[in-house]
Amino acid sequence: MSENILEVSHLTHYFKLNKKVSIKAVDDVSFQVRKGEILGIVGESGSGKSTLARCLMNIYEPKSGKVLFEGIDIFDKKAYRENKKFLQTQRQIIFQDSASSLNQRMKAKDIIAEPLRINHIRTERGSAEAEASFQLKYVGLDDSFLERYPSQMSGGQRQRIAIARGLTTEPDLLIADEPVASLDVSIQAQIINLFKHLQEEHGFSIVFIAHDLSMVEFLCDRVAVMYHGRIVELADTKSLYEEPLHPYTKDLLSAIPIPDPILERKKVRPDYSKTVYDTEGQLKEVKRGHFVLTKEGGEAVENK
Amino acid sequence: MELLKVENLSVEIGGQKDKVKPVRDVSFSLHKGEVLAIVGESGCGKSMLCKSVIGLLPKSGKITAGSIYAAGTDITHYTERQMEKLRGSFFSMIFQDPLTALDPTCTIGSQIAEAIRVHHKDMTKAEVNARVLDLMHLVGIEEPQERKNLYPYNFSGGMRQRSVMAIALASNPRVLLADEPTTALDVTIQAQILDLLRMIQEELDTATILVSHDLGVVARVADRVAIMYAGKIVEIGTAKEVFYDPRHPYTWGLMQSLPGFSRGKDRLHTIPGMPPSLVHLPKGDAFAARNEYALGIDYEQEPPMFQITKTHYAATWLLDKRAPKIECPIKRGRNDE
Repeated sequence: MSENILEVSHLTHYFKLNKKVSIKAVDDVSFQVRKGEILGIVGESGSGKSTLARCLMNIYEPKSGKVLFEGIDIFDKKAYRENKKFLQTQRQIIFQDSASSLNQRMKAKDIIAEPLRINHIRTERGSAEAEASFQLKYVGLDDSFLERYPSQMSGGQRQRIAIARGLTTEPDLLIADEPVASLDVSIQAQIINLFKHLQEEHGFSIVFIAHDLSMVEFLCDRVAVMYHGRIVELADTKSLYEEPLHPYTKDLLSAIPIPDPILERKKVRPDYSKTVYDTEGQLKEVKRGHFVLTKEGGEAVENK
Repeated sequence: MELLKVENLSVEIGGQKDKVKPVRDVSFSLHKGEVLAIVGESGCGKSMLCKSVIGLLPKSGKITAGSIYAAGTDITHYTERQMEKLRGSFFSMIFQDPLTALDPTCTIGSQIAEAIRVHHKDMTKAEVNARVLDLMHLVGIEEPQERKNLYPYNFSGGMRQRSVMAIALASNPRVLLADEPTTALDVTIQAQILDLLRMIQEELDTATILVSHDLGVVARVADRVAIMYAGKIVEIGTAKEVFYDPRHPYTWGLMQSLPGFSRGKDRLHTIPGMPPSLVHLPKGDAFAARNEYALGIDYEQEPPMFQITKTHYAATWLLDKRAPKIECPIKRGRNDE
């Protein structure tokens, strides 16, 4: 068995607007997720992060490209059929907006136990309710939440329920699509700590999608930066934050607000809206494990 | 000159049974050409404070105590008709989500023109048009002549927020209330909008109240910062005082939950627990239950505002003479200035 849980190669997904125009949401993206790793994917809205997440979950059928999950080609219909249960239980996704991704008419215990029911999994702890209560404890909520509806909870609590639901089938890969974007800073910290704790405990892999670079720096082992559907830089977190090579990554990093008035006001920001970055070329390994989008035979991509 | 002054303001919402008190005994003043940031978690009453100032409280809400002065005049008990005259000309508001603040069926240009015409009924069509182009130029929308005929859905999030700002600035307000103007935006766009806010404020000399939950956002633009918790202002001071010499444990907690402070550590610092519900407030200091430095008296009696410097106040018993000395847990290298 290989050390990569997920291998994505040349994944491309277009959205057709009409007969002539189509948007390249994900454009020739390749990366690997190692076992037990937290991979961060950052980029602005519209850079194709969520489309990528949905492709990885078989929600969208991509135009071309290949995704291997534990060696299974998830877009090959025959392979998918044969391994359906495995694929559906071992990959889980957490969405951004917990208010709309949880059924308003279901109680927390039913929401959490639903994946077990759908996949006909025998519960280890006797009943579905016991299972739900166990998972709740895991994400830091007590049993009083079992009987509550999503509307009776705050945003942070709802997001914990969504995480608990993702964990019931004990997946090997968790895809988190902006799980903290709609939360307060103090609650964000709680949820990030929870992710870190759960990862250490279960040892699964996480693909963590976010636009908040400071949270990604804290949580992730490796980070991929997406711009207009392409990965422009992929590196270890430390190496990326200390030595960003692609101009877009540099600009993105400079936009993080620092909670220090004097330093923050000294910073001169580039005009982000006017800069267009080149998306031509291929990812090239510049240093060990540090990939940058590079033009054919040339240096790292410059601004247009 | 004090452009806006709020004194001991308290607001209640709801009927006989469940009264929510989103604003409790809040006092602050806003000077000309100044940016005051109000920071707090969601549900702490930041938005309600703004809404009560411009008279947009929901029907069940009312001001139970205190007063609001606009340029020296008491406007606490103004009628809706009197308030209408002030809105737009004296203060205007930028809302959090630009997509819901804009009308999807009207062009951007006509929405800005509408805001102008409300206060300048005698303007001719050409004058209004010229003003629309001026405003769009001011907020950094390029090619206004073509763009004014576009609809909100044609615009990106940042451009929509710029349009909302153009509408808010239509009749030169003296006070601008911005309620989480960048929460729905990307980091890069957020940086642009914040710089724009600051630029407009310097150019037009408007005073701004910026509401946010992120201390990082506030650092760049605010002159003064007020930290709000459970309907009360718990610390207020100049940006430098609050960022470099915070005194309230809640401010410490907020700062520490930013990932920058936990660099190299295993866990992010969090404030334990949840903010209290504003319906059943606990006895004593509302923050006591989440406060690792809480003293016995915190559970009994609410702390008054202690003065630290002329501009810096904080409401925590730790500042009392009899309290044990506790060092601020935030350490930072001050290699600046």
